[in-house]
Amino acid sequence: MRILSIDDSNSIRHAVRKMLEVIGAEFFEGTDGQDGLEVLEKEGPVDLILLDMEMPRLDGMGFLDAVKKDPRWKDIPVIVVSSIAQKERMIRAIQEGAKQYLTKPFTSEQLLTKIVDALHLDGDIE
Amino acid sequence: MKLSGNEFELIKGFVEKNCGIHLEPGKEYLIETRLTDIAIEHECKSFFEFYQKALGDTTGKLRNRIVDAMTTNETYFFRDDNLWNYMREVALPELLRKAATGPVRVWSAAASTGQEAYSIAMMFDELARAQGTPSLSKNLEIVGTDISSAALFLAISARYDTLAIRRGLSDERRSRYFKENGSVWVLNDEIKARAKFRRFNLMDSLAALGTFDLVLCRYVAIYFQENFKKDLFQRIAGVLKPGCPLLLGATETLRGLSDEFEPTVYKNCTAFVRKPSR
Repeated sequence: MRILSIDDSNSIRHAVRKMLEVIGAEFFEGTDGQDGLEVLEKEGPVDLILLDMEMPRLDGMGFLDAVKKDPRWKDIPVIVVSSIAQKERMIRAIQEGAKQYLTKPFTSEQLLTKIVDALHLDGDIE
Repeated sequence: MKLSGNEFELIKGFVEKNCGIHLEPGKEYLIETRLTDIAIEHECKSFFEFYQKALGDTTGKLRNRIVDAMTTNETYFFRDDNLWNYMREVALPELLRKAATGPVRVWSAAASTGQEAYSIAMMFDELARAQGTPSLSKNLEIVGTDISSAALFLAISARYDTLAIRRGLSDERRSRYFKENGSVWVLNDEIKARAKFRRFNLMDSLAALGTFDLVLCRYVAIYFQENFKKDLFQRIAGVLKPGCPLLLGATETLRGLSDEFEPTVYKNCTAFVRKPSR
């Protein structure tokens, strides 16, 4: 499982990397939207993208727009990870094709259950 | 997302009717903090819009997500010292005695990511080893249920990060039962094999779960309205064998809810022992 985390905060990316080890995910990181697109070009498709909204150069909405227009990446599920104060933008992100939304700050259990849900990893559980 | 007084009444009514959860005035923050993510994912700009979406949901999926979000609590290994003291000195020795003659079954009714179920398995194993009968552990079957299949996926994986592993678990238990893999701690297969997990809504019939020698239903019923609590404990009485204990959260009681159980205080822990069938 390959997961790309795009966030301009080193500490958030570091925390997410640690959390993802629990589900054995391969971790990729981008420091902003532009960097995220470059990582996709270089590393190829991932199974899931965790996307911050407020970032320099290319922000979360700009990244989402670019990804949803590109047939190579448009089907990758995106979880928007941002602060609660940005409700209108978050709804727009969902309307633009993001799959889920997670409020910062979050625990590893909150992040992992979102990922499990987004990727339907729990599909076999009765 | 902010919740108005009117919206609180609407959401409260929906949650009570569909999930059995009772929200007192003053619990507005619970709705705001636990349901905002889901409301946004459903493109709702207000809780009124979310309420309308929830009303129109015929699949039951949104209802399940709301129940899940409203009832999910923090969980950690060996939560509540008094309860685990009772487990070590009373409940598990009794189970161990029974395990000498056949299988014993325990239900962890709000299993979440598995810490409670695995805590039981670890302590049972310790007691079995201490009395020189380690193989009796194999007669223990723990059934962990939760409404969130995502949480159960994590429970089944039995992998915990550094933060989760530090919460409630001694260094000794950590090194005995877990193996470190990078920054992840992986539970050993023998303890893992003691617990089976399945998705389950406490509003449904318990018949499919079988009968139990011990039930833990902690910090779940606190959110439910009176009638649903009565119904739930009545149904638990139906699957708990006579003479066997039901354990609730430290602040929970059965007073006024069920007369099928006898409260028994051991040190600072109250166990509710199933009365003999009449």
